[in-house]
Amino acid sequence: MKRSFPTTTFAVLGLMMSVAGTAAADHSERNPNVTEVNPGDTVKVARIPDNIYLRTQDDPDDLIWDRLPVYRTGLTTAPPVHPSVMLRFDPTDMEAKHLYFQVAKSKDRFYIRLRWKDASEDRSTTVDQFRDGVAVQYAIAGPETSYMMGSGPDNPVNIWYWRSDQEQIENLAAGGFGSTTHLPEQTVTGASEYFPEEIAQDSEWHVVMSRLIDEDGEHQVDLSRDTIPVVFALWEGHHNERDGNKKVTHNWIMLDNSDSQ
Amino acid sequence: MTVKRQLSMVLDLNKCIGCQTCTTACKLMWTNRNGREFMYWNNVETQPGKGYPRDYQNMGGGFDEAGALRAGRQPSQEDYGIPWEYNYEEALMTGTDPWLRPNVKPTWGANWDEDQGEGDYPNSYYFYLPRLCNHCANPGCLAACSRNAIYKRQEDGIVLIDQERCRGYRYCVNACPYKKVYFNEQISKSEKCIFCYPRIEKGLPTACAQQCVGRIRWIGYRDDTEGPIHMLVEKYKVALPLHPEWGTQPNVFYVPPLSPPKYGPDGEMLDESRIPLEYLESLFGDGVAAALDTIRTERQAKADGKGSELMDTLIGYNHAEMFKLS
Amino acid sequence: MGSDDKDLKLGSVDPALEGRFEVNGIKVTTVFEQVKKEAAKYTPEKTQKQTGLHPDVVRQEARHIANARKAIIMLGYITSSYSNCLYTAWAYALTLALTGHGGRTGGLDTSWVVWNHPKWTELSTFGGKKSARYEAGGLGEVLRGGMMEGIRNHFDNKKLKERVGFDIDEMEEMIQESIDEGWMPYYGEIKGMIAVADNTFRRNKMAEKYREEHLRQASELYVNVNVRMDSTAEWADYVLPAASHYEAWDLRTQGYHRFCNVFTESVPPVGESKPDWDIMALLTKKIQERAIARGIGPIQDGDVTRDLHTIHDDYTNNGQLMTALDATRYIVENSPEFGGVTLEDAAERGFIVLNEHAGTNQPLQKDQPYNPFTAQTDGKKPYETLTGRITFYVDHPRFVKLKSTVPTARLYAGPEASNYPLHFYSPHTRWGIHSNWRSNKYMLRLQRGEPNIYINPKLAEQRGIKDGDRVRLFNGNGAFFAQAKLYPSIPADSIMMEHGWEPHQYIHRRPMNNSHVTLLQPLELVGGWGHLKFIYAKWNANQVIHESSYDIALAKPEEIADPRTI
Repeated sequence: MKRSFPTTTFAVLGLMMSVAGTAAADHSERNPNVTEVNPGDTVKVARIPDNIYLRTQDDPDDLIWDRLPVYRTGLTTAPPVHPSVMLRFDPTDMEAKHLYFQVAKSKDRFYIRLRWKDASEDRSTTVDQFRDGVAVQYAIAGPETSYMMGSGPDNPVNIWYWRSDQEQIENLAAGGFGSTTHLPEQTVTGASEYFPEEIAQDSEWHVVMSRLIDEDGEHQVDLSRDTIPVVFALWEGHHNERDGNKKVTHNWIMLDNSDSQ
Repeated sequence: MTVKRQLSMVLDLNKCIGCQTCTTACKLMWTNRNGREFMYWNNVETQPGKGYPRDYQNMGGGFDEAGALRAGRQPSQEDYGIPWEYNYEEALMTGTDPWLRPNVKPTWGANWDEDQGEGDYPNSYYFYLPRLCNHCANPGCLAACSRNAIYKRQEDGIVLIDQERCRGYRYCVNACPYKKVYFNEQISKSEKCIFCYPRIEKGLPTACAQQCVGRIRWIGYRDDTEGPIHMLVEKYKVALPLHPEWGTQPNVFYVPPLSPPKYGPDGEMLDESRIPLEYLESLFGDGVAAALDTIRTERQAKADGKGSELMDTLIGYNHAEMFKLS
Repeated sequence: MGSDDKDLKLGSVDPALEGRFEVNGIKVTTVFEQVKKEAAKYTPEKTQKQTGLHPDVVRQEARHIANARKAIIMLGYITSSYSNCLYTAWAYALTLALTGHGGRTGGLDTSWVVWNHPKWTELSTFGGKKSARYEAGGLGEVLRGGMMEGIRNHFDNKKLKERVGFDIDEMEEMIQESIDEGWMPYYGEIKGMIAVADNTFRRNKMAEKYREEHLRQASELYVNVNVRMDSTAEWADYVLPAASHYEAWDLRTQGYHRFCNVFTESVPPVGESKPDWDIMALLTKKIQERAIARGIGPIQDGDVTRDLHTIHDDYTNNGQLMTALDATRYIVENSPEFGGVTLEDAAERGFIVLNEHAGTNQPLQKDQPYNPFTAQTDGKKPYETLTGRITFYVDHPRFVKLKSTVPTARLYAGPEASNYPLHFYSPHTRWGIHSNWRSNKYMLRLQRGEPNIYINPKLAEQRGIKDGDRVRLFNGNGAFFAQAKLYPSIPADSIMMEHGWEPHQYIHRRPMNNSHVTLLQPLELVGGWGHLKFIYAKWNANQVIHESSYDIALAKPEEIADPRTI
């Protein structure tokens, strides 16, 4: 099917957003093993030794994750690219939302684990309630691809989307705003768990998504490359976030997927 | 949004008796299942009243004077009314429940304020307003969709949601000032009146129009100068859009209701109509006074035996003339 | 003067409408004089207090009728739910007569008109040979249902007499007189009951008493034929499931229009259900079999015999009409008013247009309105009355006793005749017919989902009632509960409630009709005076069902709690 994609970009606004403050209070954690990552930085994909057996493939709280490096990056409000998003856009909201992520691969599988603080567990998608969600977006080509939903149909992105109301990961592709499409090959698995705390603000979502490294199919990110550009997006249902109403990483983070140590 | 042809409906509020046959025809055909239970693609509400969903007229949406989308409020489930169920088996067959009743205490529904209206006896007033998707020329839902999932059909201007493209963001639900797009929780997609297009494609009128006991509905194309829509909307200008100020350019039009005179304190008849003109104008815009004058004049002509093309159309002698579908 | 021809032609006669005369030494006057004298008591100025209508409105309406080229007054069925209906109807007739509306210029119409369907009648009366017993509906229901006790509980005898011109004691005496004189037939208690197409335990007033009485009298056998588990089927020894709409061949017609709708069996009946006709064919087959086996022969019943030993043969026309389809075909293809259409053609079109034979008083002319009484106005055929003319003078002893010999006026009974201050209106279901579809969930979702009353916001405020509250309606016969719905279009001294709710839909299954009282109008029970005698669907007494009244209060939580939670 041939579609036309809106070509307008909001690069200026996007840049402005990307320098948004780090004064947020949602990373009280003082774990010295957590490394702060900014867009443009490179992080290493960890290797899960072949002798480690994961009892449950996508267990979001598997012990293995305690042994792998943790990165933290700040997500800020995505620039509105559609009037409906603009209507709900709060330009005064500069607060960064912190997302902790870990990336790892085994012999044949690629894993990404995400966790973040969320005071409310929003699992329902109802007439008047929105669900929590998180997505990982990969440039199918290189980092010259727009991190905002790709650069048109010829330079698309692959998106793994976890939504709190179901235990399956949607495998999507997009080539510009409004073009997000459910792919015929649903190859990504995942699992999630919400950890409520007595202090609601400290409650956390843990999400693991994974895929076989070798997968064929159009718009499936090549996970055997040495460098994989990735950004994250996060939706808090409690704040009526959906579609472009979200917080995102404002430029690619590069995953070093090479086998070098 | 330009289309080749535009289907349109006119409803004569003077003839609507509020029987809900249209609502039920639509309900049983399209919305009694699969997550649509709370939806009434066609509803009949009492006006003045809160309508369906509750207070939709104050929920925003549509366009501002500059033509930009206006923010809209999301109706809650309670605003629509939660479709309650009954204990038929337990109350009538097994006898395990003491009486037949809903499983929740009903607190709101699609026709909750039926017949309430405004004013004090004997000068109270109300009328029925059947509502469906207006299949607007400038649909708020279409403008609001960030997915390009909503489109108008070229051949008839029917506004549809591409269920493959819809990702359930509910911008359209907010943006429609008439609140005629609904979110289906079961499939996480939005749905709306489809103007019974599978029937239209067979040359049949919509279920709501076909079943209408009061014969208050006409269907035809806007460009058919021989058809009823042209006569009522363009020629006699007795059919007006609901809330034209919302900027969506509806293709559903209403013949505003005449009303009997008010009574004075001693039971004398006053020279003042029961439904205030200003109120009707707040719904149907500036054309109301002229439309009511025309209807009064033409009614009298018909009563006097002089004949009236307009009244003959409004009487609706036969369906073939009321529904011009080619 | 005078003629032996039975027609209404005046010929050379110039009747005196007004004046006083002496005939053979007897002083006489005209009916018109008496009518005028009586009407003069009720000028619009004098009646304004009762009606709330400004005299100008009354005069304007009278002139509106007088000026109309054609005027028909439709006597709605609701009017007959008031004890003064007869007066209202007579006044309508007088209004039309005085303004020259009869025949092609209009007249009186009622909601109880049926066309002439001889084949229908033939089948329902065993080949026209054995009519069923008929009674005046209201009379039988009140007496057989034991309603007199509730009537006494409710009304204040003195107040009632002031309002309507008789009290309960006099009403009871007059009822007895009507039975004793043979003016109105009443057959007493029943022994068994086969109920079809009547939700009688929902519909009747003093409902609990009525139901208990019927179940006691029919304790040996009560069979209900029904399409659903309604409030009458619930109490049956046996419920025979009947095919519903679109599941059986059927014909429907009534006097509001000139069409007969043809219903086909679009879908087969659900489960074991069968069309009513088939059920009766099977029942009569068994009855006949047992009657022969037990040697039961003809049973004399008045002028006819009841022949259980041939009942199936009689019912089915010797086996020709075994199914609903057989009966429908027979009626369609043999009825003169259907003009010889085949069942196949009628079913294809969906309806049959009735021809001139359908007219009861005169032929039903194609493309012309069925104007009331043109046979009389144009054809000068006498009316079916004592005088052959429209009658504005009745000297039946009861009319004399109740000072009602000419058209006059009486008040309704209402709350003013009781100790309960609120008028109570129980009109038809908003979107249904009686209790049909009353418990259907799709329809209930379009109202309040449970029985509700309508109350003026001012009255509600006085009584501390908010929209959606559960309220208690009570009078001398009991109480029921319902949801309150604010409704400014009703006077502040009135309550309205749609009548069709099933008893099993009310809290504690306690329906409105348990406490809802009724009356009979003794004038409607007269007989032996020309046309004023029991004639089915023409002259008989109905229950006067809108004369009840109530008081209202907010319901207490413990009153409406589920009994299982206490």
